[in-house]
Amino acid sequence: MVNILTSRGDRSLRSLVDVEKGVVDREVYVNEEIYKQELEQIFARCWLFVAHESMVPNPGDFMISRMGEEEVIVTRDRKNKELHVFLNSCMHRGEKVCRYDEGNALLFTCPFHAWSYDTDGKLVGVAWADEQYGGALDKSQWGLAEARVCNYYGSIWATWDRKAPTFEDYAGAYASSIRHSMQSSDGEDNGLEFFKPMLKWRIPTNWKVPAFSSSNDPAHAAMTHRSQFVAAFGPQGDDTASGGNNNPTPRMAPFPKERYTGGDHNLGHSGGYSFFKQTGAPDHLDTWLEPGVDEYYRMTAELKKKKYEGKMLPGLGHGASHFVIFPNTTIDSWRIRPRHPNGIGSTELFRLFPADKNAPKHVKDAMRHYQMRHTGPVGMQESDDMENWNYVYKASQGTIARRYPYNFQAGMGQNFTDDRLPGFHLSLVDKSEEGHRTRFSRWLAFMEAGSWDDLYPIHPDTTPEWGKT
Amino acid sequence: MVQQSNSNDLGGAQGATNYLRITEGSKVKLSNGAIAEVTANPNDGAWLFIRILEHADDSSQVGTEEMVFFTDVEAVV
Repeated sequence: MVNILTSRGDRSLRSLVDVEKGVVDREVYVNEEIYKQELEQIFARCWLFVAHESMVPNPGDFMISRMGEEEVIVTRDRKNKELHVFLNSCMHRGEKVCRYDEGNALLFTCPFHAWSYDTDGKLVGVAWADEQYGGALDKSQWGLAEARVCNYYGSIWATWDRKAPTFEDYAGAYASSIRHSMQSSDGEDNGLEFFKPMLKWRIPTNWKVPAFSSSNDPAHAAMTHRSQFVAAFGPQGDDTASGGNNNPTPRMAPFPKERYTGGDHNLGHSGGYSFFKQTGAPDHLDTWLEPGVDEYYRMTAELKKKKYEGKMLPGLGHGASHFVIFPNTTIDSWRIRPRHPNGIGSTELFRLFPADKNAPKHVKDAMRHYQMRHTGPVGMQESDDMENWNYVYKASQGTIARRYPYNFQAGMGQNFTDDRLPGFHLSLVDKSEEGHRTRFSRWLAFMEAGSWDDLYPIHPDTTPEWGKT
Repeated sequence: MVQQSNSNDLGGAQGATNYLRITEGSKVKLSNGAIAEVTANPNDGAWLFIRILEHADDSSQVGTEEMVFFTDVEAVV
């Protein structure tokens, strides 16, 4: 059990995170007690992204994922074909029951004493059960620890907390953005498949450095990624036409919109947000280097335009901007990026990349090749980012460093609210850090809360009309 | 001289490998004398899914389906 802090020495957590002033004490990133409290108060409560349904398509399929520091097994059970998320730890004496990254199984058998679990988590095999337990072992009470699961238009989320709101309520206005991000380029729901295996690697930094300090961080791209933009290695070559985001999703021709950065302090989610100013969907912009790819995306853009005749595009996803679902997952239309705590000074990064499930092979190959050279442990963009992530933490741990707070003041006092997006603070400043302040507001709320009773309800009308399903 | 391995032999180091390779439809003799058909092998080296075909001491067991642990499987027949 974690000894929950509401103060540290003579300072409360509220003095470490001052959203009103836009300063965050470095202690929040480097203090072991605070880290352990995060695992208890945040990662044991929130809805966390674990996988996409296309990665476990068949009965008996499984893959390993993470929730916080802990390994989980995502399965599709053999009998009912339902998705489950289990703690990868035998209920007998704790050993991992699954030691392969992915596969198809009849059972998960513990290598310690052979306690075995069906793909729906039930304990089905105990060697010498009658002899050892005299028939007294009630197997129904000893199934694998199972999380609550939500399959949201193909994206799989899980939480350990039975009192957490539904996933759709948890996501608020971002629910429609997640749905949109799971669509194929022609606007079909559940239109994606994700490449396997996902990329995984570890970096020597606190999870909040990539997840909080660096996500939806519009000011860093110009400097951190300068060489990447100059090299113009993306499919889009000269990326100025679409705003310089090096985004490989089907490139959109300019389309009337107001674009802001912001977030909802009551939910903790944040990101860029676009209010599109006309109905329909934009034309595709020809930019791919590989032959035949632009032809495909021109075709799907036409299909999407038909679907959105008379309707507004959602404000996030598919080129509108990326967003961060509290606490640790950034979603674009072309990648999902969870960051998992792996010790106070270590983070395990996952990268999941999709393609339209109905796209021809040459299009899927082009997308996969781009994603590998752009993102991930050897991708050019994240190699730039790792220079920051790795050394921010190292330079913040020392006795003197910890005396100075981080500054998250960009765009302060220049926010507005908009009836089109109830609950949000949107920034008039292009390179605002309102998204960061949003995440810290929610961080503080979770760290102080006794339970979800202290964290909920959300705004009653957070979801915009066009986002309601 | 190279000793030929017997894939039905479930003893020793080779036996553990043979157990992993028992295929669906194979028949096995259990330590209680029953004969069973393998309906599935999870390839974990521990369990087999079986259907009892013959049981000299308890005919009511014939037809039942269960999991059997490797220590209770004597041989492939």
